[in-house]
Amino acid sequence: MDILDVLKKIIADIMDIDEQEIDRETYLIRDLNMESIDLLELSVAINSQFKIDVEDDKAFLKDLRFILKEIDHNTSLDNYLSNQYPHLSKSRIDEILADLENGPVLKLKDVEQYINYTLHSHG
Amino acid sequence: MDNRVVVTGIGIILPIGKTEQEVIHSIKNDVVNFQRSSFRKDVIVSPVEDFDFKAYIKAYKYSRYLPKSWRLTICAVKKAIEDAKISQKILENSSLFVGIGPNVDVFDMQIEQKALGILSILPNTPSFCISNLFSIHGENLTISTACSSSLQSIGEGFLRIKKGDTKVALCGGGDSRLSNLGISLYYNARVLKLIDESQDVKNSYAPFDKKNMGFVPGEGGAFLVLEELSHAKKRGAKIYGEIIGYSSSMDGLNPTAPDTSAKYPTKCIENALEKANIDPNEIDAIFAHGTGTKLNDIMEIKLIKNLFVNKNPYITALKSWIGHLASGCGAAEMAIGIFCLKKNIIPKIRNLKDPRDDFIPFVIHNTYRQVNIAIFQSFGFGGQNACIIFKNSVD
Repeated sequence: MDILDVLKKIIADIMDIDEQEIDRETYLIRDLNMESIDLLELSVAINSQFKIDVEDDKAFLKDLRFILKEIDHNTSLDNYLSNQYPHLSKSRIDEILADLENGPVLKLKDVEQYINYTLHSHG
Repeated sequence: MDNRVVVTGIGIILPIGKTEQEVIHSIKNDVVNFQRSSFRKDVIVSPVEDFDFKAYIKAYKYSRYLPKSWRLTICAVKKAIEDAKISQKILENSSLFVGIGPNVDVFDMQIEQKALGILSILPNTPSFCISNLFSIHGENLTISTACSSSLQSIGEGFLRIKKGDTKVALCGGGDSRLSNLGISLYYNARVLKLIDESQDVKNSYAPFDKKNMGFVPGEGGAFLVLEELSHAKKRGAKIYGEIIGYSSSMDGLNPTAPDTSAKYPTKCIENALEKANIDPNEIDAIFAHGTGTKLNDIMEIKLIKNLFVNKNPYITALKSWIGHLASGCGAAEMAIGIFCLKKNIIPKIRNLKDPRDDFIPFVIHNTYRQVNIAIFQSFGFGGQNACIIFKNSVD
């Protein structure tokens, strides 16, 4: 099973919904109304399924708004976010920055990328 | 002056039915759902068949934290709300009293693999879910007093309405201990009715019979809507009857066995009678706890003899129909009892042939009589005693 399929199954179980309601582009908070305790469950399930330690702030972009608020205006935003979220591509970061005003930006594909990156970087 | 408290809604999910009609049909036709446990063939269990949480509650993300006992409880609340036909506005200010047990069916749920598995053992999780699902935000209390829990939840709701704290209270509970662990714990404590291969599963369990030793564990949920009388009348509610007395006490003698002198159970019922301002002779029927364990049955017989000197009320034991619902038994038996009293039926104690006492009028055939006042009794481990006095009419 690939990462996406496993994630869909986990989230469907946590939120008591059908897997068909979830795809790579689904916003976890904006579309599925996932709350902090649901993300906590997701974190524990990822840890158990993929045997990786999940840093919730990064995997679920929890500290994004904080970073945006605190960042020095002379710093390049793109580069800074790339360093903070090394699992996200440049184009995804641009997409996120353009989407900020529409609500929570976290998509399933971000979590998928986080797992992919973490598995890869650990060998 | 104290408020009067009536019952205006009943919701059940029980082994002999999920509606009033199904329960009455089962009682009239001697239908029970006793079967051999899949974990131990010498143990009889009384499960609820065809129970689908989703059919009642639809998608609910917190259901992953809910063992069957709590699912049964929550669905019984939904049915009670529907039966009482109370509006959302009334519900919001209604109070909630939930009687629950130690939840021994949770151990099959792998709660250690969830971030918030703790929710599956926190006693007020069902109360949270009920409030979350049905928007009930008044006085709130979770009561866990062993096998008296759900009867005491009704009692506490009664007291709050009586004293004017609230106009409407949803009270009841539910339980399920038919899991491997539940059966093992009961088996080890030597409290279960055991049968051999040749014995009839449906016709062996006989509370108050000299030969009966132990009970049949059951499962289910039951909730009652209690309401202040004028509030109920004003909105044209259906009124099942009136609760006129409640009391509780604790033997504190032995962690499991009741005190067979029935000293403090007697005190408990005397208190309830006094508060209800009635004489023991006005009691027409007793819905005994009637587990069928030797010590319980001896204690209850002594209790009846202590209290009822001049008159012999009908004595029945609904566990012979549904098994022992543990913390949920009081609410379940009160619900069935009220349904039967409305139809002028006093259900028999099934399979009772050789009573432990010859002078007590145990009901051994379904009896068709009008009952005005009945007592419901629950006794739990620890010597936890509780009773509620119900009047089958409202003057």
